[in-house]
Amino acid sequence: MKNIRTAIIFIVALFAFFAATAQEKTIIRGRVIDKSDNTTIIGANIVEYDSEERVVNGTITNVNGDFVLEMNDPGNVVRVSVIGYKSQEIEVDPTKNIMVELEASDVALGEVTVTAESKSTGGLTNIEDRDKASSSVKVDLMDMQDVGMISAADALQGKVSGLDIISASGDPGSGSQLVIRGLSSMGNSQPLIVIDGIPQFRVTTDFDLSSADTEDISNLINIALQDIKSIEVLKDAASTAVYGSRGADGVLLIETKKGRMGKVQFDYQYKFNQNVQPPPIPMLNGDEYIMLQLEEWHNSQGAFDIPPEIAYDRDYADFYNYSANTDWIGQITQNGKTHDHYFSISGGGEKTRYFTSFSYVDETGTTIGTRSQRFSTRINLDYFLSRNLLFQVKFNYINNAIDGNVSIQGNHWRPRNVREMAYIKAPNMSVWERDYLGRYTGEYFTPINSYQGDGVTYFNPVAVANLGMNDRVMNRLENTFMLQYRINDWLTFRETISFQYEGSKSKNYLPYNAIGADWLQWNINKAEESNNLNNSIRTESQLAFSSPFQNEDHGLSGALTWITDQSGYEWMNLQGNKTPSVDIKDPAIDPQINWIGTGSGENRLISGAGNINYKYRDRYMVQTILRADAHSSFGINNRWGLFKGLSLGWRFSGEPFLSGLDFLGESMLRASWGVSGRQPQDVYARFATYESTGTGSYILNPAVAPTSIQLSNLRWETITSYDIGAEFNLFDERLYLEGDVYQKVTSDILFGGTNADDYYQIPTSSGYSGLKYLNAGERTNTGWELMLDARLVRTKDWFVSVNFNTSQNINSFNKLPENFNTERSTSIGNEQYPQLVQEGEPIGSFFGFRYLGVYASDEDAVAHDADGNVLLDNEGRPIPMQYTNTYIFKGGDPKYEDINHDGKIDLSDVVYIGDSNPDFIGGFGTNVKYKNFDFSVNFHYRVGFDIINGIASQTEGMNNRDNQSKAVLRRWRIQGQDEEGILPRAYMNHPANNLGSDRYVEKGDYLRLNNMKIGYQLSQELCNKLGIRRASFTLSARKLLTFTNYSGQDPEVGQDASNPFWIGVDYARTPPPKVYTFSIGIGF
Amino acid sequence: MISKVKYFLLTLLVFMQFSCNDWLDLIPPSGLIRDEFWNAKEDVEAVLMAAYETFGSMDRNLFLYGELRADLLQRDVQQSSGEQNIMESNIYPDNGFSNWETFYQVINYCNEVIKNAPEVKEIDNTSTDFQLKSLMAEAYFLRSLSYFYLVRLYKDVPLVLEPSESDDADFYLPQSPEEEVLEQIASDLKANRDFAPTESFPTIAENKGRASKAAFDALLADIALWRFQYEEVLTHVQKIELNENLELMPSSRWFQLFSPGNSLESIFEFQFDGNRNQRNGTFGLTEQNSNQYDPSQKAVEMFGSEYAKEIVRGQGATIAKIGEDDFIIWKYVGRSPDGLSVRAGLSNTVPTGLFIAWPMCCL
Repeated sequence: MKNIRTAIIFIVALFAFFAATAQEKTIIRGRVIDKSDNTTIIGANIVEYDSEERVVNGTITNVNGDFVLEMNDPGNVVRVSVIGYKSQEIEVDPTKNIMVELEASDVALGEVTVTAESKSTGGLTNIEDRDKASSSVKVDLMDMQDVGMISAADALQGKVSGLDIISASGDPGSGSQLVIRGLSSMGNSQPLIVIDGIPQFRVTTDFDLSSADTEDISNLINIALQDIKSIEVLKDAASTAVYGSRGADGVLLIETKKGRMGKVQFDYQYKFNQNVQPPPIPMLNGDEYIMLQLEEWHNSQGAFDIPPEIAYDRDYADFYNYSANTDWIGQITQNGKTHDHYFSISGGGEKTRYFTSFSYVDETGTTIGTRSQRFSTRINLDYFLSRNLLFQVKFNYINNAIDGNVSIQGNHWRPRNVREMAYIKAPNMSVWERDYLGRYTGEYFTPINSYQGDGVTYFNPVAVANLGMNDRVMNRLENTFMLQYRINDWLTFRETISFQYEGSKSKNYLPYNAIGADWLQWNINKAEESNNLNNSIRTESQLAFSSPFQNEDHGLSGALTWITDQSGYEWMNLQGNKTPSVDIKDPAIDPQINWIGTGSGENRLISGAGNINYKYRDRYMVQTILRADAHSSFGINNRWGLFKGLSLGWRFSGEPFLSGLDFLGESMLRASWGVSGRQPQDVYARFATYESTGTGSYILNPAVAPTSIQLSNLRWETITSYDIGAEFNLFDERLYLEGDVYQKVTSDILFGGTNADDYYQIPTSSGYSGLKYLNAGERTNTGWELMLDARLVRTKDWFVSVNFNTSQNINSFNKLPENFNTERSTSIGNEQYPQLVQEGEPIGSFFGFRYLGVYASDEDAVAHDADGNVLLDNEGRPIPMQYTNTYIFKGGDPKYEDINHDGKIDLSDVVYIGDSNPDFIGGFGTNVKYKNFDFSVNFHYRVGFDIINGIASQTEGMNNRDNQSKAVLRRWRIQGQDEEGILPRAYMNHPANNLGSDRYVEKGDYLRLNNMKIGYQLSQELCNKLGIRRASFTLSARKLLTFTNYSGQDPEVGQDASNPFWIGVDYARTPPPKVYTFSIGIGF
Repeated sequence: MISKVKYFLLTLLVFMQFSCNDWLDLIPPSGLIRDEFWNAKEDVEAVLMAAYETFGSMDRNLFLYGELRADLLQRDVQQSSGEQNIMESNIYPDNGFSNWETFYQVINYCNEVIKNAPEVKEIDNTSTDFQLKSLMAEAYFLRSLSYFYLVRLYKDVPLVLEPSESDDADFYLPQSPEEEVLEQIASDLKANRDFAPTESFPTIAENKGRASKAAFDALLADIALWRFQYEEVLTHVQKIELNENLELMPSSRWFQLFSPGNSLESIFEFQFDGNRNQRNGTFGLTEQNSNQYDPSQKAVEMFGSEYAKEIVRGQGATIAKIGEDDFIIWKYVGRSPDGLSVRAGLSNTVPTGLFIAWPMCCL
């Protein structure tokens, strides 16, 4: 710290202004009057100009028309001017009182409309917004401050063409997924978030506390929404190239509020949200479940020993525990509430401007046991040391405490969370334990072995949610110092240093009475703690210049920037079990230590960037960017990556031959080309490493094994993008149209990732399961975007505007790596969809069987040929349909299409059945203001895609002991039953009644009313009477209505780019809730 | 004015003065990299130990590889679906159970030892030729054992004799015919048999847990048996007979073969250390609450006391009767013939016997 301070003082000292030498001052005085009627003119400007016609000094006339001017240099020229009169040069004569007589001029001002357009200051390129020839969209968030959103990502949904946002799950603390112009790389990379010019580092956690779904704390949910003034989305490579390797997936530039000159302003806002979960899929109750299970057994085994849990046996000790009717989903769902308090102070004077805010959000989730509390504070301080020297300090602190529920794996192949378990848990099991007489014992019912399985794999979700703990506390601190020195009119130097620090701690505890396990088992009273520390230091030195030419026709600007960035992380994870009491939840208190792990790492980046922008006659623009990055992930041979961007713009509306068209406002044609890149997230991936094996020894001798292969060929992934677009401003700023056509080609795609599951698979005969990273293959995203914004009515009382945007993105793999195994899984089986990738086809296509209904009776389950005739064997009997060679279909079994008419349902009957990629995405909305009321509505849609209803395939299979949905009440029971839409029969362990087929593929198209808001602002007179500056009330609702044919809970299914075999399956994570909000804001 | 600009550029240069490439060269703090690793004979031994440990972790699967498709086992409710598919011969490529990954991991570790041990000899002055040859012999043993399992399970397998070191290597190797693989491992074993240790370690665990000359002989005999080379089987077995350290155990000591293990009869057993969380998979597989496998009707007919009274290792030893029609696999779990007393404590950490003098069979 001390060194930084010394450095800053040193820089300031170097460039201190030399004091101008004092001179004898010449003073002139006089009076300004109107020539025609000799009245005095108040407020006339008396201005001193030097030899270069620059303003040196000035004053205005007072109430009497008198003025006194102290001149810097008696040789300078003095002019008098005022609106409505011709300006006049006066003779400098310090000895006498000068009388200035002004003549009225013929110029009268007509109606003047002042339109203010904000200009973004700073940033790595200093191009004015209106001149930008690359593709980007700026969204103003001032209107959305009082809507019931917690995260800025929600504010962007449906507003920006080409930006696809999938909402987070409804659990507090989970982030959204943002995709700009299609997924271009492997790995779930999100766009870069830049807040006030500082790119936010991404937290690298090497160790994840076994959570079933990947919910990480997204940077976006950690900014108080009310702090944000605007978000700009940079879409094409020409604009993101300036951010080098981190900008490859798009950039979000967030600008926070700053102080302004004026009286101190206090603002307070309170928002109350009621979160209501959409109705769940109705599941069977206890009695229906027992009937289903009995039927499953009977159909598969005939006579069987009825397990006591589903038999009616009053003597069974657990009879009362297994004859309940429990609605597990209802038990774990609650209505959530959110309280959001926000307080800000802003103001400023000549020398300083400041903005500071405090925000506290307390959100309870819609699943029991989930909650998030976030406290954040921000200070933005601008201090003008002198006219040319600006010092800025930004400080931001966030504390976020998230309570969640433990996910448990048991014998299942992956951990399951409380909600998944609530769907499949037997409804005849009681939540609370009863004894043999039916009295409550006071404990949760958690048997060690139950009808469905052991008590750990099939846990009691209410018990786990209430007794278990999965908490995360995160602290984040950010400091930025910036010094800006205006060397002269056209040259500015800026130095920025920023520190970011984030520490998070996760604690996880599962007591034995929440799960059914033997007291001696290893996972009793399991406590786990994980600590992560991330820090980063970034310096940026920029020399920017603009318009050195006198000639207005040419405009040249640009900047040279030098950036260094280093970040580091440390983590420690501790797992213990068998803590002596359920109240001791911390693994540090002496239990049996199961596992301890630590790790650390560092990451360094150096880059140099330069950009030059040239504008001719305000109509022809050329913007170029060149950036070179060196990153420590790469060996010395591949270290430097070069990123470039070139954009051309033509403001044809300024052309003289088009000046006749009145309706044409500022419109522009633009084209851009750029190259950006990505580096792997794991900095040490290229080394061949040796580490201790899992248990570390064999017969007391230490064991060390090679764990990864050396990657000598690791290099940057490059993304080249082309964009052509046009912007039109029509009818006097009433209609704004923007359209783009683009293509993004990713080459040398980085396959792989930090987790072993993501490694690029190579034959295991090498001794390794995969390479951490491999550069191979090529992928293309092509598409177009259209955006429309119309201000229909703009009068004193009314303001009506309508906006609409739509986009389409088509992606395909044009080249796969050599030897790539295009068939990830060709096994067929219940709930399994074979996964294939084909060169030239988009990823996200599904394959499976065609489902045609149910065989009404045994006689119907025979093979047919292409014309529909029954196939006979050589003895004249019809050939029965078989599943591979192991099972013959009977009445009540599902009918799959036998594509090749061979009488067998097997791999050769698998066909293409759907595509997870949407055809069009976009949104539209309207904004109406009338006097003090304002009303706005926002819709968002995604059409043309299919979803595999994964939760339906798990709850309509009827072939195991899981609970099923009420849909199975309409199942086949009697020979000859052939109603429309009937489900197949219940059959325990049927090998083929739930194969991956288009039975569960549904159209996911939806149109969703994302946001509806009504607000009222108190009028100025009323405010003045109450002594406040402003007051407003708002009522709003989010995700109110969804128009869709999809039968699952929520058609917003995320895309997983880490896996070329990914298909869009909906696994019923907590759906985003409907939110009803009331908010009140007061300003002093 | 110009001087001010000069001052700026000077300051810029000051900031740029550190050497870029040095600053960007980062080495992982929590692991060793290959450039720093192969320096001492302890490094060679460490990788060899990793090979042993990894092979030992497969013990549950080694049991099932042999028994699933034979007729001595029967499934119970908790059998996993992957294993069920193998039992029904409904085997798909993505069935995790059919993955040979762990075998090749062991082979890769052995290849690393074999390749790097001579290089370590040059660097490390404290190592002797004899020590390193002994370590290499153990590596040859484990590699041959892995290939022997691979060949018996998959017939034609890729023959990998070099470690995978960088992504320049070609990972997509063709299969080699069974004969070629068997020929390779038989010649490796014969060439290195005399370098293998014999009773050279201080603890019994190490003597039984690491490859000895007797282990080489036993493996060679097994390979010869697989190839129907009966004369050769006899030559190798005779060497074992002449070994004074091995002796058959009396039948009253049957359960001690498995718990605590490392008996006089045992030639080579993988060791498990309870303090390090190493678990003997066969215990977890066959203990009563796991409900995964039971003896099949055929096994009961071969070993049950109703059918085969005179077999010492039959009922009460290998299997036990606990109910009217209820049999369980008893030899990995039990302590006495009554079918009820289970081994106490961390009994799932006892060594797994892989070779027993006679007879050589698993159940």
